[in-house]
Amino acid sequence: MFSTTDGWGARHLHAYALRPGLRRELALPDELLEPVRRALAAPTEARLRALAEALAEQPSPDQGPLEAIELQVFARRYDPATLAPSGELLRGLVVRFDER
Amino acid sequence: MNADLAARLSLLALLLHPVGAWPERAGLLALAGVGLLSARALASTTLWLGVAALAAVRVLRDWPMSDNHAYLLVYWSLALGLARVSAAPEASLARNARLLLGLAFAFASLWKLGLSPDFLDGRFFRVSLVVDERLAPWGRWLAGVDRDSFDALRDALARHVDGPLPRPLELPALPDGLARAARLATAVTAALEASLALAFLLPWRRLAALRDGLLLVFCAGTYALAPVEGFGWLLVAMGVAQCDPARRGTRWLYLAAFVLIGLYATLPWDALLAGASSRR
Repeated sequence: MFSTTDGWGARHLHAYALRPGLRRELALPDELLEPVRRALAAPTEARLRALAEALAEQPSPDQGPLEAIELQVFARRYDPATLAPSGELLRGLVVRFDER
Repeated sequence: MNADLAARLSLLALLLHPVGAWPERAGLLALAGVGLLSARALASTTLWLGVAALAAVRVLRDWPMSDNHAYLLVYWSLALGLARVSAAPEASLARNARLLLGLAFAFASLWKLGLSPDFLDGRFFRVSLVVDERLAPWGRWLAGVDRDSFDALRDALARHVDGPLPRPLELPALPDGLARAARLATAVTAALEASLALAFLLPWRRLAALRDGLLLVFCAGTYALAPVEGFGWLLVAMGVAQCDPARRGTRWLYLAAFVLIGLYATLPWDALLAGASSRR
């Protein structure tokens, strides 16, 4: 009931594909919007791992083997005095694909 | 009589504000229609257990993003169904409605007063009156500044930030009217919800008038600001169910609150408040 500024709608997620010599931020495709929202609401390891595996299946313009997908979930915080926003890393996870 | 009225209001709320994805939405609409048209269906445990089951499917499907009133709908429809098979349906439903209202406000108070790091210091309302589109019409009106200045403030507060900013951000100052309103809203909301929790959880009969009065004030005020009519209607239905049958006038007030919440949801607040601002 309207208790905090922190809700899944005020969080955001970054995803990166790691290849040899390359770290590229991934655009989150529309078909993964639901899993992304769920990961924002409750960024558990299982949920982030499933999302990373789904992102690894996406076509990529980059060459070279996919080494890992890195995911970061941020929450927006506000300074109590000035209200200046900052991003707090709630959870980060690197899911490796080169060791499989 | 209160139980039937509460049941009808609950179904009417589902018809006026359909919820869930299409399979459960279709099922809920069908059950609501049947229950409103047939007194026998309205009194049927099966209908209410069906509503509870579909409402539970909605919560599970949306997990973990469901709003709090989605859970409340499950508990409330379960209470409506179980009351029908109890020896004293009216009394059973009244008790469960009172306890559900008390617990809903107790948990809301727990969040606001204990768990949330940014409610009691006023940050929630200072930020939400600007960045939350549902509250922003009121924020713009309270701020008393032109739209461009308000939008600049919103953009500054809602900017995308990863980690701390490299240097302190020069934020536009929060207008005095908005800051004062945020402080007032914080204090009134916290006090009102804690009072509601106590009034509904304490079992004393002499609190009946206080319970109804507080809940009616809450509904008449909150849902003008927060367009969450489905939640408001649910609270009104539960308020009716727990209302002392001898207090007929109060029942009418609950019906008026139901209509008022619907009216709030249809009013063009942005245009009305912009007009009010220009006349200041």
